[in-house]
Amino acid sequence: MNNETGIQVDGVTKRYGALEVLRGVDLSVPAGKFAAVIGKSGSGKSTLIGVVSGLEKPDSGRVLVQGHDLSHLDQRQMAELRRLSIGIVFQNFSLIPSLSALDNVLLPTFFDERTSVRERRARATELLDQVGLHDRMQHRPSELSGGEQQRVAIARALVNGPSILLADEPTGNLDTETGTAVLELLFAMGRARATTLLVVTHDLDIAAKADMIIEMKDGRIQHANT
Amino acid sequence: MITLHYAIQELAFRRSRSLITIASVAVAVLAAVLLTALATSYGRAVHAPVETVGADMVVQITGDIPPKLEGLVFPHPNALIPANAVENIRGMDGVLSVTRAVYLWELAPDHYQSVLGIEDGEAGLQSLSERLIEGRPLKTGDSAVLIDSDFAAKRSLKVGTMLDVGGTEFPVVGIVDAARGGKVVRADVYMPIAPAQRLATAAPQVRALYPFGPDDANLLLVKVDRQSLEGVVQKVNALLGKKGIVSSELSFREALSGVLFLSQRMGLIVAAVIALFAAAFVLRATASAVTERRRELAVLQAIGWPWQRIRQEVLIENGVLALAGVLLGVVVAVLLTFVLGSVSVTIDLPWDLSSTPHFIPEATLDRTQTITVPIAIPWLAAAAAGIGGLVVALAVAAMLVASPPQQPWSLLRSE
Repeated sequence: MNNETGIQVDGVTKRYGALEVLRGVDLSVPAGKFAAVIGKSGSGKSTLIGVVSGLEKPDSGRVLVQGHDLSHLDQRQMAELRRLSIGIVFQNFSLIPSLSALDNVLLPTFFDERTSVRERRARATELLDQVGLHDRMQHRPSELSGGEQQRVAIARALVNGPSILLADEPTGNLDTETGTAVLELLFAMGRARATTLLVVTHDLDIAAKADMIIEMKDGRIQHANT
Repeated sequence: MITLHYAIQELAFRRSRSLITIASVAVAVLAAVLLTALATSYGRAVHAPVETVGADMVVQITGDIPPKLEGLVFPHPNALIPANAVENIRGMDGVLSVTRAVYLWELAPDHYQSVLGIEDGEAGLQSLSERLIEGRPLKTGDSAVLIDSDFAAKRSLKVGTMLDVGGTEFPVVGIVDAARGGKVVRADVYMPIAPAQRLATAAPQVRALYPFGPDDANLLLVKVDRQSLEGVVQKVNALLGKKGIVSSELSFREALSGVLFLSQRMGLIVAAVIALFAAAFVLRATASAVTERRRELAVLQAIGWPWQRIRQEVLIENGVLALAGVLLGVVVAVLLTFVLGSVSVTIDLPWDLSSTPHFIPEATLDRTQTITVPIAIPWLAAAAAGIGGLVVALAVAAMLVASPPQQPWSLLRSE
């Protein structure tokens, strides 16, 4: 594997009962590039993100993230890799409802022993400021709009400075205008940090902005255009 | 500390569930502590009647009715106790002290009085001194008497007046509130044992029945190591045979068996049932909390929380709830015991222990004794209930989050 490769997927298969969702997927996303995964519902896009995040175990094949073969990592190492190197943005925001926006962003930093609490707090505050929520930091998710919640989720995904950012239909629960604004933000912040970006989307306009477009059909990669 | 902050935020956010869990634990702890407190109080009431005379055991022997009911006589349950039997009892394992006494009735045409001559010691003259309300205590060598306050009022007697007992005049040196010591072995007139022995030795109706000598006794107050009580009672019963009367807290267990059964056995059963219901509530509340939060726990996994920290988080939350429940339960139990104050039990004393002659109306006393025992929190039981509540809540939580979900992505994915 090339050291410059952010994500590499080799011959990955995944089956849910009788349904084969991924059928020998091979994929390589260079570090710092933006790849958009498109395809119809049920084509295996979300499962691919799950496998790359290590939250879904493939039945066969291997996944390398920043050179780490995920099948060789134990539970603790996997958690550390996700915490430090992988940021994930979900379709339904997945914020913790009992916590404020600031506390949600701070969640992945709880076990960061490299920096002080004050530094982590400053980092989270700065990120919330960058996503335009400097005056909404103490609000709970229920007090924020969908777009604002997704901005909090983006700040949370970036708070530990990951080299990989995964987004599973990040605009799926947002109206077009808000969705476009959120994606612009995601791209801008990803690019500014030279983050490898793998985004699942239905929206071809969004996909058009990517460095790579990966089209999936029936669990296979149909086309991978650079 | 950060996870504790998160736990508190989470518990405050899910207020209803938190309150139900706290209340469940509190009810179980409250029931266990309160019922144990009541059972302990009733248990203490059982040995109160004998304990009030300063002894753990009262020993008597059933005697015969004298030929004539006149002058100084032994009450029916107070026959001569042979000197060798006294020595035998004194030598038994577990017996701490034996105080000898002579109990007499004086049956005169115009009056009746009961007389107790007693040795010095914790269960003897010393115990009388504690009930003295006027005058001075008796000393072993005195040829004087103390009188009961009710008797003094009835006979208009005061400290300094002379009292005739069996034809001998004794100065009244003090007045005691005998009722304060309960009604067991209660008399109108108290004196050191030596003059009582002299009176008994000279009494024709005593001599007609017993070869009573100047160093004999017809009543023993025995202090016993509490753990050996049951064994000592059995040995004394075996020593004295069918005519022996051995009264101790064991005698009152029967009288209080209904109350004790309710307070101890039923109390434990009720506490156990309540604890089971509370455990079921805690289980249900914790299970629904974990189920409700499966997605949330998967999010924590997705952002890189190790599963042991997620499990720790759930345990902290349940620990905080259980601790709050335990504290609430104990505080309410303390408040309730403060409000209730004490429990009262009325016991019918056996005639042997309050032997007033039923054939003399003026001497007939109420032979019931109402024992009031303060309710106190048994802190050992409270600690056990508290630790039990914490352990159940933490065990339930630990069981529910023992291992991470195998496919967390299925809870988070968009498709």
